[in-house]
Amino acid sequence: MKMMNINYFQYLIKQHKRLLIFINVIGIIMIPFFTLMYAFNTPHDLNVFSSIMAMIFGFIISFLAPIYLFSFLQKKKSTNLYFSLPIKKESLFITTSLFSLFATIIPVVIDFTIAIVLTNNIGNRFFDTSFGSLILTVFQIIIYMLVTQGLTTCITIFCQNTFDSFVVNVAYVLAPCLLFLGLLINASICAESIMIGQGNYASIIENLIYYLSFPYTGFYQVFYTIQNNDIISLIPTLYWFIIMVISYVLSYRLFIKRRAEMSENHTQSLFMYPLLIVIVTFSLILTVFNLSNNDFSDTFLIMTLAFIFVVYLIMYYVSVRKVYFNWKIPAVFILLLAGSLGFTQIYQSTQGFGTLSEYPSEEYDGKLILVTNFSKNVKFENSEINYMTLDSRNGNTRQLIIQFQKEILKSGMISKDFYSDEYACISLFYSKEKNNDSVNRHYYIVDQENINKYLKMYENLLKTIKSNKDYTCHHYEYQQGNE
Amino acid sequence: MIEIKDLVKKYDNKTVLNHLNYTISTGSIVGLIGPNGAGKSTLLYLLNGILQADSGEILFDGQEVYENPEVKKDILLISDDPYYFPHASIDTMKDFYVAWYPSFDESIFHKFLKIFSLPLHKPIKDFSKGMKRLTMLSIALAIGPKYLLLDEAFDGLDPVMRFNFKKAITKLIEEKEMTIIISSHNLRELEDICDQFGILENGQITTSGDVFETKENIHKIQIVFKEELDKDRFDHLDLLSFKKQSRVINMVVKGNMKQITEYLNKLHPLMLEVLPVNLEEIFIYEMERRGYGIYEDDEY
Repeated sequence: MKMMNINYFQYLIKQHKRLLIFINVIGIIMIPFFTLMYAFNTPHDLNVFSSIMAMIFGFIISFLAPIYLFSFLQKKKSTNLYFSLPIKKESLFITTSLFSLFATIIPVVIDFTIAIVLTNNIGNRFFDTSFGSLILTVFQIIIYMLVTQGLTTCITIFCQNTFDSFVVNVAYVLAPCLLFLGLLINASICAESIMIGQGNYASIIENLIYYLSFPYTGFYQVFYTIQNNDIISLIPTLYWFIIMVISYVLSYRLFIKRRAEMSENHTQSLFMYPLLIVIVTFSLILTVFNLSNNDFSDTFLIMTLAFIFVVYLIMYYVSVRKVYFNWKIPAVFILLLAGSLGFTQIYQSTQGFGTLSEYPSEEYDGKLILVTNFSKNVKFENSEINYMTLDSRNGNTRQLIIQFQKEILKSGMISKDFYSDEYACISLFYSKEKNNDSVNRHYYIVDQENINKYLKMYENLLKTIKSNKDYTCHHYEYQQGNE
Repeated sequence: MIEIKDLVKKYDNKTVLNHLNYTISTGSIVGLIGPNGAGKSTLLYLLNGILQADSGEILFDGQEVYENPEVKKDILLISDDPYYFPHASIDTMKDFYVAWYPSFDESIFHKFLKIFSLPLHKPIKDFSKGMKRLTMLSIALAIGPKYLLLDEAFDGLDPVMRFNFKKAITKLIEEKEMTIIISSHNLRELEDICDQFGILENGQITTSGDVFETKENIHKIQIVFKEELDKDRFDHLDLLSFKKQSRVINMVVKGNMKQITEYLNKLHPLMLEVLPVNLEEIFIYEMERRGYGIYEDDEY
């Protein structure tokens, strides 16, 4: 490759000989050796175990390698040395990046292959994954290692000193997860306050994690592929692949534009500390906001917000490395507070941006479970009522249950206040055939009179289902007294 | 030949080099002198293509240096505090430079390691500042670049090593047609080795020239008169420095010695003595004339 400096690449191999051996030794311990140890104790799902170990190891070294290999940019003296060399910056960037990939991807692929071959030779009974899935798994591991390296390289080049490089890289792994939690908790509480029952109404937000956290997505995709011999969805992988390409292009541009005098300065870019501080603070505010129903007279909310403000100040002062005050500092916090309040209000008023519904979408085409639990004081005779599993691939059955759910909601029996001696809890689980993702709804009925009405509706449902020839239904006998 | 044309370099809002113009001919040894913070190191870093100029250009034999590996392969900078990899030994650093400079001559390298008594396998981090500098010099001598840039060249070297250092550089110049630019505060050392000098001040080369010719053209004169004479009596001379103690006057004058003595003799001095002047004094007088931090005795 014209852009790559072969001499320097060979030198890097020679210079990092010990490190390469160390990476390989750790890889062998973590992947084939641990898989063997696991095989002796738990002789199943060995391929899943080895692929997860490969992902863990791959993620760690892919995260650390660019931070280490591009660390020369963070120190003045080393930057001066590298920038004085007879090589174009683009060539220096490409050679270093390729070495980073060479030093990390090859050991993981080799060690994973060794683990697969070893476990296969222990006994074919363990080998329950198709060859195609193994290739697909290796491919996915490589893709997510590339994503990790692309993003870490980009952040490392953005940063101007060693401390920032490490802190910001770690923060970029954690902050998106925090944002996801903030959004999910806030949206879930919002949803439950406006919907009839309880349940994972904000489940659509759960999908955001695939687009916010690349380690989570990588682990989940690899886990799913190796376990189910299938790809859960190409979209998140494609999304992260595009992010990786953008990261490398951006890294390349940043590296070429990098000036020697930037080293050992405070990192200035808005995409580093400022963006992270905003994300973390916004996530924390979102998380606690609805816990007190936006009631600013609530002492808990005030105390928590005060604590978040202190965390925000600490993050801000660490980022600028000095303690001072100006109006911009509280103004940004107030804006974030307003943003959280705005998000909550908009989410509520638009019914979760149009995503909130008591009934599942057509995507939930798999197993369907209807469970009713009763408090001790409730009296009833039908022992078939407690647990029902239905196969909703039969469209009629699914429609029947949704109709049943609609009738219950229409009947006006549902109560938000279930702190009663006599109550019944109706739980519905609709799952997807493809990946077992499910939505759940829980409705409470109080008073014996309402419960009797429900029992009658249930009996009718059961009769209809039983009259249906192709229904698949399992009942578990209810033992009165159990909740 | 190195041509520096209208060079400007700023750090944030501070202009360090301000439309600097300077030409260095091939094979010369240039002493770059200037007060602290004048921008000597910045100029060397720009010459090595480490820093990018805000405007202007630096041409090595007509080619721009920045991001030009073809030019940079002929340049080596020994900075005032060279960088070595953590825990690296001389051997490790040698491998690094061999990868970048194919002209690296291992026999020359080992010869100078022996001369400078440097251990090949010990960690460089345990070396003294002088040893670190000599390590880098050994590397530079082994590479034999066409352009060698030395920042604060004599810092941390003991007299014997300074002697060896100068001898090694002189030998290198004899063997290869090298251009050397040395920045140093030790002007007496520079004087021994340099044939050209440039004084960098306020972001520009304010004075430059041939060391020998300049020394020939600047004279330190001690003169005694029968009676006290005021400074304005010497207005016809290009005075760099003038100090009067009663009837005894010490002055530094620029110009043709014959014409100066002819003029002074017309004033009928009791005694007139011409003392030798060195590069350090030239620098001090130039700085003094520009009012840079030279204190008179009564100011202490």
